This record gives sequence, structure tokens and C-alpha cells, in this order.
Amino acid sequence: MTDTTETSTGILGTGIREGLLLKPVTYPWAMELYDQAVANTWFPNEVQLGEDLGDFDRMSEDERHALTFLMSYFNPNELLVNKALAFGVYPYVNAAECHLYLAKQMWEEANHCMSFEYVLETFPIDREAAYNSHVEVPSMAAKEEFEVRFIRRMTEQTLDISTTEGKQDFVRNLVAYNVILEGIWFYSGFMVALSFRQRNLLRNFGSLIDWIVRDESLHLKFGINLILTVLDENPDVATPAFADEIRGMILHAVEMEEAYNRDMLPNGILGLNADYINTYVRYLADRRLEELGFEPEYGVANPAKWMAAANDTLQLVNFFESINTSYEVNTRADS
Amino acid sequence: MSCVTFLTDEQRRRLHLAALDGSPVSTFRSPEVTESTLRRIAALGQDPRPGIRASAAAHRHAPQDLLHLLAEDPDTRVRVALARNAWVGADLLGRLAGDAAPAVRQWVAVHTSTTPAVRDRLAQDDDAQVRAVVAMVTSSR
Repeated sequence: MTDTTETSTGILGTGIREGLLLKPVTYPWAMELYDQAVANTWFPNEVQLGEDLGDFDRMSEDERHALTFLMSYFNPNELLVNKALAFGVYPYVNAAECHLYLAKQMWEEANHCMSFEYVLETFPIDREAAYNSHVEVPSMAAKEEFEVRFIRRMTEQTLDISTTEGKQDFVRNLVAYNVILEGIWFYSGFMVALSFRQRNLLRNFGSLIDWIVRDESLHLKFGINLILTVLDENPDVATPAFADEIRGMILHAVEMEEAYNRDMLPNGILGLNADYINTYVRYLADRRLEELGFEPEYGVANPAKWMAAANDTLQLVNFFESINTSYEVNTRADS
Repeated sequence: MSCVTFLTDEQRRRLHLAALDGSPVSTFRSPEVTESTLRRIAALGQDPRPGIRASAAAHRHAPQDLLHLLAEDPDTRVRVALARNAWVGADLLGRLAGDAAPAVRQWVAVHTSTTPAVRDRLAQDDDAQVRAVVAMVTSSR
């Protein structure tokens, strides 16, 4: 592919000489997200996790396995997102307002990592087992390997962000860490984490996850806006072949998540089994595909409509209906 | 190979030793709440953007007078954030139990500080979803 014109007037660039003046703000959506993120600032110890210890003692082995599995995945991957931002996004963005948001997001990822440490410190979870399983469980390691591949490319000196190939590498990394890792895989985990509260268990842990979801929903908005802006400003990027590749990445990510969820819930726990979660994963993937301008792939309804509680409405009852009907998928129109 | 699969035997040994060490990695302390903290939260509560006011409504250290003010906010998202705030007291929850929006009343129904009397009242709510949430909460306690 051929080189394109200088991108110093757009959102992409080396981000060193150009991103030093905040005004005029070129991308007001980034400032809006920054303001909201600052307003959302919270600290993990504001949640009294210790009050959930009684619940933890009453949980079954399968439930504890699921919780440990989640901690094992979330904890290092919050830091992996920071690597993706530091190596693959921040250096290639020109706009100061984007840098402001990215700096806040990176602190939030650190705060999330510390939140999961707080969970590990509070609950009698085998830390060594938790730390090790993200290395030793193949389905979990495969997800990390997928992410690292795209981050590593962003650190190579041969990457030139002014070329079509360089911009495509930038978008690939964004899709991998933002759309897939944060927008599908994390949300799948959040659903499992919040399912405990739906059964009146680990309510404070649920509050902690609420705060994290609130941050992550902003991360997702920022990433999608960034991708769409890059595509809008650089019409050379979205070739049919590249579009097919991006779509294929997302579909492959769904397959990986399905294998991971089968490892997390080999026997199922009350109200949840791997099929239920994987239907939710497919629902999420369709939403992410649509946000990127693709047609949905799976056409499934959201089985966990109560997850809308992560945003602004409560759907507790639907969750319990699903228990009573043996994981029946709720086929009513989504909210 | 992933960066995480580069763990050497030595790194694994250190990980094992770290797991045996009972000391936490952090004190997990947040900054002290000062007058300026409270002024900042109050300013957020006056912001013209509902999302920002919702953040104030959900804040751990939001002053009581601000919370009561936000209970009258015209935007449902703000009042939902308030009803979900784990540190909101029973009196304010009792007030929110009369909110016009069913979503707010549902969150009141599941709040751990809601009194039995208020929950009993919500069990008779006009909205079927509110009544169902009360039934769920009651049966699981």
C-alpha cells in the first residue's frame, strides 16, 4: 500500500509536537468523556468488601471457582489494557483532549487492578492459584496471547503511523484492546460477577463492579469514537479486505470467549451456565459490530437484560425468570 | 508466546513466595475527605449535565443536603444513581420510594438500608416490576 499525506492535522500523528495546546478543542466528545471520568472518580476501599465475607463462606465450590477465575483474568488484564494504551494509542494520537482522557483512563485501569487486589486481600482466595491460572489455563492464556500480538506490533520501530498500513495497525490494536477486551470479554466477566448480587450474594462486591463498569462504559465510548474518527479522517484505511479482517477478529474473539466460559463454569452455578453467558457474549458482539458499522452476526436477544442495570435501569426480575425456566433465553425485545 | 508465558522458574518461585507473604500490596487508603472534596462534590451536583450530577448522587461522600436536593432532580438517571448509592440512609430511601419513576422505586426495593415498612409499601406498588423485585428480595432474605 502507498504512503498517504501527513496526518498532523487529524487525530493521528506522533503526538509529540502537536498535542501541546488544549484550545481549540478539536474533538469535544473527548473533553466530555474526560469531564465525566473525573466526576466518576472513586477508590476501592470506599466499598466495605469485608461485609461480604459471610456470603463468601456460604458459596459453593463452583461459585468460588468462578470468582477466583474472574479475579485471575481481570487483575492482569487491567494492566494489559494500560500497555495497549501506553504503547499502542497514546504515542500515535495528536489531540491534547484525547491525551487527557487517556491519562485518566490509565489511572482508572490501575485503580481497577488495585480493586481486584483488594478483593484478593479480603476474600480467602488462593492468590497463587489465581495468579497462576491466567498463565496455565489455555483458554485464558489464549485471550492474553491474542491481545499481546497486537500490542507488540505497536512497539515495532517499523510502524509508521502516516502510512495506510500504520493506521490499520493502530485500528487493529484499538479493536483488540477496546472493542474485544473491554467491550466484550470484560462485560462477559462483569455479568458473571454481578450475577452474585442478583441472587443477593456479595452485594458490596457488586457495588465495586458497578463502579468499574461505569468507568469501562466510558472507555468503550472513547475507543469507538476514536476508531470512527480515524476511519472518517482516513478513508484509505477501511478497505473491504480490512473490514473483513476486523469483523473476523471479533468473531474469533467470540469463539475464544466461549471456550473460556466453559472452563470458568464447567458445571454451571445457580442461574448461570456457559451457554447462558455465551449467548450474552454473542449479543455483545453484535452490538459492537453494529457500533463499528457492520451487520450483526448472531441475531440473538440479550439473555441478561438485567445487565442494563450496569447503565441506568434495573432488570432483576428477568434474571430470576431465567432461573425458573432453566436458562431460557428471554426473547422479548431488548431495552 | 504471551508476555505472561515468559515466566521463568525463578519468577514462579518468587510468585510462590509472594503468595505466602501475607502482607497486602497496598494500604488501600483513599485521600482524606476535606472541605474542598465536599465543595467539589457539591459543584458536580449543580452541573447542567445529568451524567455529572449522577456521579455526585452516587458519590460515597456526598453531603446529605446535596443528596436531598438531587432526590428532586428532573433527570431519572440522577435519581436512579441516588437510589443505588449504598450510603444513602433510610429516610431518603423512604422519600425515593414515592418517586414517579418505577426504576427508582425498584432500586429502593433492593437497597439494604430500606426499612421493612417501606418495602411493604412497595410490595403494593402500582408497577408490576417493582412488586416483583420486592418479592424477589423478600424471598431471598
